[in-house]
Amino acid sequence: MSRQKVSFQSLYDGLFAAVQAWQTGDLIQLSNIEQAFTGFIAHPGFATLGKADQKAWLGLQSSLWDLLDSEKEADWLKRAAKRPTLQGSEDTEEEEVSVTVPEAAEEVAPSGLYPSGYFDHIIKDPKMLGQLCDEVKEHMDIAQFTLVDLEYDSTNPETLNKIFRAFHTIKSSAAFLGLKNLEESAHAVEDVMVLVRDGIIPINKDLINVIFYGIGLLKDLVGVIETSDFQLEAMIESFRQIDIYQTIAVFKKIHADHGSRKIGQILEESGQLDKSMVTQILEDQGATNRKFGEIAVEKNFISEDALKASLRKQVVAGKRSSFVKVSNERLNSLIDIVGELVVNQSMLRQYLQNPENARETGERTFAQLESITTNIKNLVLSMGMVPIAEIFNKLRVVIRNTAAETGKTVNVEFQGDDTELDRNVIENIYDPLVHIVRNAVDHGLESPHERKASGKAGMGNILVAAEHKGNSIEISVSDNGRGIDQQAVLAKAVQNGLITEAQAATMTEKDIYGLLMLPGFSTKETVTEVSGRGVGMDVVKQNVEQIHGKVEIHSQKGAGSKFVIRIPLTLAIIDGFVTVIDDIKYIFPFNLIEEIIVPDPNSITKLENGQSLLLERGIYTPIIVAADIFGHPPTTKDRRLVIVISYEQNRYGIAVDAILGKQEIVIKNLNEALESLKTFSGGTIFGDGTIGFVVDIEKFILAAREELKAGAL
Amino acid sequence: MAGIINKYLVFSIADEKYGIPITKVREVIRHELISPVHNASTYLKGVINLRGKIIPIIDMRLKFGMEELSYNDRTIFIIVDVEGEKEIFNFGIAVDSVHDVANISDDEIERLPDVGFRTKSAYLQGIAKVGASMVMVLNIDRILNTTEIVDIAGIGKS
Repeated sequence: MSRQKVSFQSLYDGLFAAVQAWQTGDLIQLSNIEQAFTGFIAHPGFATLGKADQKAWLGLQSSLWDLLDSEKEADWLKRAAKRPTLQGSEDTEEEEVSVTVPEAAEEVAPSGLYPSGYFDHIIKDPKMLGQLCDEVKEHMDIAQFTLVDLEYDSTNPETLNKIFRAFHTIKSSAAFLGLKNLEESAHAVEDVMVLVRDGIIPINKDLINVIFYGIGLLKDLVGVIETSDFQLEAMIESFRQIDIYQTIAVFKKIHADHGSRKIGQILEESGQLDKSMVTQILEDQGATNRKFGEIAVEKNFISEDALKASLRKQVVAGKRSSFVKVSNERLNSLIDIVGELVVNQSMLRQYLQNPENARETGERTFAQLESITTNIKNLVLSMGMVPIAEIFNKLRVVIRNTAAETGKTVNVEFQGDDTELDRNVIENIYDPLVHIVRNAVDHGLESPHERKASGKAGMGNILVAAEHKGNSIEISVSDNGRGIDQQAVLAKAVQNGLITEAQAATMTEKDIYGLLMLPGFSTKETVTEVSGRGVGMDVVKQNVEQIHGKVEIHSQKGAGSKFVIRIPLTLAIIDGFVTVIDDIKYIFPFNLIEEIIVPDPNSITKLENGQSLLLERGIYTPIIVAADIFGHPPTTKDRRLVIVISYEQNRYGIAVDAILGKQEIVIKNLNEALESLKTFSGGTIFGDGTIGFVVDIEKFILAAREELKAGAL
Repeated sequence: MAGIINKYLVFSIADEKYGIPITKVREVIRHELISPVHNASTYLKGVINLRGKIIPIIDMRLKFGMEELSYNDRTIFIIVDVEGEKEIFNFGIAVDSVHDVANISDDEIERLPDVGFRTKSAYLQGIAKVGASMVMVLNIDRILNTTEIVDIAGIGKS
């Protein structure tokens, strides 16, 4: 019952928000209101309202309906009026726009592609070029996910404007730095975007594809700048190999087909720039071959300060990762709490000054202090959290592009995009998720033809969801595709020598999916023909484990698969397993611990190269003496406990002196002076004030391998 | 004529007096229990828990290649701010004792002759006369820049 109430409430909220947005003049909200209202009235919760309320709502709905009809008409008329130059039906337009995307220019372009002196005016300043690269990448990211939005809602003027602005900004910045090829490419796309924005070209799938292609070109050019390490000669050399005109021609054609008559007018209408200034600058530029920015400053169109200010802005954008955005609300509550803290402090002082005060008063003050501390702790931790929506927006682009490449139609749904994650987790989770959604589209979903043949809807579904579960966050990617063929996976694993036939026969479902995440399970081609899974899954697993998370696979043949990533809420606190070696505490990540063994001395065999092996229940496990790795002075002491960890499908035994058990560990950074301690990811302070070291398991295993090699020499 | 006058914290290591700019000093504490780290340079004695922060401690005697002295009740940890590659970080230096704060003018600091100071000269900014004694002014940012620590740790291992 309570669940129903909540969702009823959320419907109500959605409706309210939509009406509000509509009142502020956003006509796009019309269809949203319609939908929201229908859902609201159809919801079982509606029946629980009082009769009078119900009547009032229904009355409101019907009056709204009338209003909507008239509004919609007006809206439609407005849009139609904006397209005076178009003749004929929508269909013919679309055909005109669907210019085929040219193949990437693979053959070396003739060196005469660019006129001599074309690249002579690039400003030789690595810092400024670097800033430009960051800026372009950021704008292209924005343009990409805005484009995907556009596919669903092609009329929102703000969406179109955003994309237009992205190209416009890049064009100007590139011109300032004398990167003519970048400027020309951005310019071509911008021209087409102007026509789209003004409603002269209708946006459709083909056009979006072409724009994506333009984004790709700009990104490539920026990539060249970055890989050449900002060395002018190398950069120009590579630039000469990239034919921008092939792409530009596509945009020029679209532009010529639709907007040649109106271009000057449109640019004036855009009102973003004073056109006369730009024309003047361009004229001068043509005559003298100097930089856009130089002339602009000289002509006092833009002050040198303004130029510097815009460059400074770029610096901020480039280093954005080192800042945290904190909402006003959170900041205000932090200030409030600090206020409380100050009051508490003076109460405490008063109490101490007067020794006759009752003990009770002191305890009350102290209890207050405790609650203040807890509040501050929670608040500060929450400041490092960001909503996962940031990643979801990018994934949308990935899914869209993969679907376009593989000729599949996909309906994507995102749930829980307001789920908050640790900033550092967000950074680490992006790549694995990209791998997984790509796999889901490429291999998970069948082609529309295949789907129809097996009685499914032609359009595949992908659901990406994030939610809090206890102390961790679960991010899942589900598809309703073909699922994983367990037999095929087993056959492949046997063929690649990962397991024997006998082992294959005894494997559980979980084990089989585990095989997919083994390094060297297979290469891309073979997996695609056999099971359709496995591309880079080992990398996914590794990345997720690095942030103390786990990957799970669920699948049903023919019905689809679900990949679940489970990660801790924050990297700052982990479940640790505390061990002691020579009175120093070392913490291993708890999720890797398999078992603890007190070995019988007879069960340990020492190999010639110094490696000890532990034989337990018929399994040999290599033993790593942690004290050696951590550089403890050698002793004859018997390290009598072995904790067995499972890392990258291998078992390792780690010999320690004692075990204190599982504990929540708050990881503290070890500062730069301790950077040489590579095997630790941080330190921690225990309740009694002693310090422990948190082991970075990847580096630890690596160090153990090196130690063994050195010993064998 | 007169140069800028700065305040320096003066302390001693094995009967020699040293000074560091007071702006670099975060706090001065009595020595406390160190958790040792093994896989690092010998002069990196270990870490301490300073009100919930983990602070590494450098033994200046070992750093300067002098004889090690076990800590007594006059041993002091000076916690300093150092500009690292990414951020300002803290570490502590263990010294025999702390004397006072002295005003030293920039032009009182004499550059050092290159000979006769062995390893120390790399970290010494100069030498100044304070009252009757000579104070060696340390460049604390250079005493422990990160690359050096890594280098020395590497040498120690191989």
